[in-house]
Amino acid sequence: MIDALIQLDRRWIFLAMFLAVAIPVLLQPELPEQPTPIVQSVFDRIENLPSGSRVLMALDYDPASRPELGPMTRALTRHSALRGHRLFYITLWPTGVPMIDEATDILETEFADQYHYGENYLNLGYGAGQEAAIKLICTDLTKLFPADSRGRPFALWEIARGVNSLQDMDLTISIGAGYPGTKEWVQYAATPYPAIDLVAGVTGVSAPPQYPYYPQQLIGMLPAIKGAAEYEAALAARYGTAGEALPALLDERLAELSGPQRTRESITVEMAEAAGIEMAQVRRVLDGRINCLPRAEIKAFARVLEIEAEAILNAAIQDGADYSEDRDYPSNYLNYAHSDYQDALKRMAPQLSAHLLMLVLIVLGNVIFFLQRRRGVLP
Amino acid sequence: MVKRWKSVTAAGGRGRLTGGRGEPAMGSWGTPGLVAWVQGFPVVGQLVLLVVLGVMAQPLWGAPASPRGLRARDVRNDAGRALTLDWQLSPDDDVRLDPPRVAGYRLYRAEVTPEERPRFERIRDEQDLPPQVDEVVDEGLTPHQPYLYRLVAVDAEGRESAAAELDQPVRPEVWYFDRNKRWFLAITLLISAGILFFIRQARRGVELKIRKIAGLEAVDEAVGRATEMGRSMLFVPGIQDMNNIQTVAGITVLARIGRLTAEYDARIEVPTSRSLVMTTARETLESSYLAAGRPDAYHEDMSYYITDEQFGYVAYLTGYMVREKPAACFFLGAFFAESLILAETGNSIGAIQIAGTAEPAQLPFFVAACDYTLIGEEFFAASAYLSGEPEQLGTLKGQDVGKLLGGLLIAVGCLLFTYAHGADSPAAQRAVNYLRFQVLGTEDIPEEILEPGE
Amino acid sequence: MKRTIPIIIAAVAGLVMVVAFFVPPLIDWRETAEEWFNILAAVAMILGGASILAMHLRRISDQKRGWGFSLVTLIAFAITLSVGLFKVGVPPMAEYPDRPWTGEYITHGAPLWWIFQYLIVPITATMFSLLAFFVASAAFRAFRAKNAEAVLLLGTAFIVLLGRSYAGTLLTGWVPESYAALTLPGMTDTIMGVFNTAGQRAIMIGIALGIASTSLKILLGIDRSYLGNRH
Repeated sequence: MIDALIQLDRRWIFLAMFLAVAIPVLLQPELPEQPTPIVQSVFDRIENLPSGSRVLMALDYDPASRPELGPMTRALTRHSALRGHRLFYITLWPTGVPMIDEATDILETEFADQYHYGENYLNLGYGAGQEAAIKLICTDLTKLFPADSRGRPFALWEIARGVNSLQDMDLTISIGAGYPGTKEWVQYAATPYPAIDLVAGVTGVSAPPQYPYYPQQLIGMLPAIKGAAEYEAALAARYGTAGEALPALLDERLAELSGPQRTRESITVEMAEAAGIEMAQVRRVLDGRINCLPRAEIKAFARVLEIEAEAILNAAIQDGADYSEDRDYPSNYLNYAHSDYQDALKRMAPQLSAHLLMLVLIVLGNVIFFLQRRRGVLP
Repeated sequence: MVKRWKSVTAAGGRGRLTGGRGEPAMGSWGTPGLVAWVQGFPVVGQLVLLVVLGVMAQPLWGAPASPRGLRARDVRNDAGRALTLDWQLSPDDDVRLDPPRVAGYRLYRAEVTPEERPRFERIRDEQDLPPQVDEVVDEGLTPHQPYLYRLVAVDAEGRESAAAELDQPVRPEVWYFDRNKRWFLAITLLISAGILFFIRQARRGVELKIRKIAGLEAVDEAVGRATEMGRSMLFVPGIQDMNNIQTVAGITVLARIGRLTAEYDARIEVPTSRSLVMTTARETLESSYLAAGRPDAYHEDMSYYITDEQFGYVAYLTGYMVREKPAACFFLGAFFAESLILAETGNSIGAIQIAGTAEPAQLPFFVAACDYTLIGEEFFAASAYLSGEPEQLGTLKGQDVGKLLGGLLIAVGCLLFTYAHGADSPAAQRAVNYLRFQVLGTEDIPEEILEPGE
Repeated sequence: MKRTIPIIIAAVAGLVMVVAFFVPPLIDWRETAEEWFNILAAVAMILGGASILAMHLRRISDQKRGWGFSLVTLIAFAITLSVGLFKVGVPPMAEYPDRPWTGEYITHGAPLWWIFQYLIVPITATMFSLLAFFVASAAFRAFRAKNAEAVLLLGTAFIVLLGRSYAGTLLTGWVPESYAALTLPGMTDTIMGVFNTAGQRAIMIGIALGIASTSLKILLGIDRSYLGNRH
């Protein structure tokens, strides 16, 4: 038995790791998270900036690190958009351009009503020159980015008004996977220019060397996917809606309407279509996230269901939907407690099982080591 | 109407000349000049003129109130290319107003020359400064050239307020030494002097004791083993270009390994992820083979380029290791996420592995999977250590001066900070701030930080 | 001569970099030196391309073992290069509809975008993911309690591995708020923020001094081994 373990083929370990990650990925159990202080300070910073503040996001990573850093880019983009900040995207990696597109896609879909290109967000694309590029934009942004990624001069965009350099940004976010990355942003931007406020998101491998910069040069940091998960948890706590009273009210009504041939799903789709609700929104109704719908659609839905519109609206508000100031959309339009918006939290279960497997492997390795020593195989 | 003109005149900027070396005021233009011109007419004529001017200025009624107190000052410690301008906001620039009365500020600049009247041109690429901004740095100027500025507030329709102006031109001064970096220079010189001192000592034949570095002692063993086994060796100079000092340090070790390889008649391959590193590695290997008296054994294909793409390069390297099973692997340079993939693969084929990097994040991976790891400064010491030349070894000793200085600063800083915190003494707090911002910092620090509570 | 000129170039360029840090009017010189490097590196790219071509063409012509892979490499190289260089399938910019090459080289839906999105992205992500497997095998093989230091390291690893996952919250979630520093996540934060930071700083100072002395050696021409052995 021991001999078998000593001779263990590495491929068995690989298989164990594969299973430890694959099974939770498929089962998707949800694990709660609490933001640690280093993550909370990033959240507080974005939360407390006045609406319309300028935020520059430097996405210095490539497809290889996208699975680890993509979720924090998305969470930070969503949070900034919820607060109404103006967003500038750049990358110092030539392979980082599609990472920006991924972030701006969120603004174009989830925040299509509020966010318009050139008005409150801008994609400046790739800037060559590594740390020299950082030094350059600290004093003059247009020297590195005379035009945005669409080739139109930077100065002509509305969002560019009053922006001369990185020092005009209210916050700079560096999401980096290596060189150039967070370390360079700290050394060449945040340290020499006290006016530049920097927060960062980094991969797990490169997180330990960045800790010395917190909290002086870095206001806060999201270390690895765990940091992103904590951020999502903070986002859900602030912008999530629970969705409890609403499905009960609807389920009751839908049960009355449904017959032997009509499932809850089919009747919901049917009713939503009758109310003229768009297909994209119908999914939200099915998920019990009606508290994310515009006021007009809720009223139309109530009409076809023959329920008092006020009853549904009140239930939605009770669930945390914020229709204050007579808004057409609830200000927390999307339910950020929903798993659709929690890519990092979803990965906490695979991460847990992988960590546990590592511990088992370390213990096993040591058992073998001591047995070998007892046998006198090792000194 | 008249009052309006006057108020603008009264608000004329207090432009200040740096170091008192600027040109004297070259006269007034714009609104003050206009008032003087009007005053030159008889009283009746003045009245008529004012009515006419009032009609002409009708659109100005809707324009916002002008900003006041425009000042310009030289940006310190620069190459004479920039001026800082500040002013008091227009009274109409109030965040509580909806719709806002002021949409932004527009800055005009004129070069002052003895030959012609200054011509004001709009600056900042036809862009206005946003509202609530009361300071801007104007860059890209010509050193020593006197400039005049004129600032107006504009509303959403683009109507300009009356202008705030400097009453004297201001010149950007060239600073030939960045005074904020004087302490930095002192520390740099001190460390460099320490290194040079020990190089001199070494040249004089003073015995310098350098501790043994196991990883470097093992280089000979690794090359020897590869020769015995008749297998090749793999040298990886990291994934950065020649402008990274780690790559340079890796190449200096390659020079030594190359020479041993030539002497033992072993085989070495140096695949690179940068073209420039490839050409450098070729040069280095060629010289090493020449130095070993085996120029005939050298051929260019020993070093070749794979790809700049990090993981493409890794794919090649791991593939090479699994197929060719090199007897020794050297990973010396800047490494990132690929460190463990490379080192574990090398370990699985039973190669002797020596790694060295100054990327702190990758050190644990190399330590876990390689036989020997050169940690940070050991890696930079490798070239001196392997050469055994006294003057190179002197540089290693010189680094200790830097360490001593670093340790001293840490100790002094900790004691001072603790004392200032506990004793609540402003003098100690000043000392802490001086140490933090002046000695260890390199930027302009506002006086209020250096002089707390004053 | 062949050695002297490069040493002079290195010394002058290095000196300009150092002096420009303290003397603002020289900043332009520094920027010029940096630009030269970028230009040289870009030109060297051609040498790199030639090296790839030469290596794989030789393998194919010698019919070495695995020469088929060299063929695949060359075909992929040629396709990617030409698709990118000639902006194949890239529509012109909206502002200049009659200028065919004005579009962005990696426009959404163009062949190069396709190559990037559906080949490079998954391939590199796969390579990066291999790390998980290698970390596991390294942990099994190398993490042994050989001596006192290794035991300390092992203990720390246990705390951080648990503290960085939900297990930490689960195991020590019952600890009252006032003792939060004693929970696994709390201890992880302390380890990362205090012990790790202290160690990292020490290593960084050592590295910085190593860089300073290496730079000085190269500037003064004491170490010329990067240009080949001096003897």
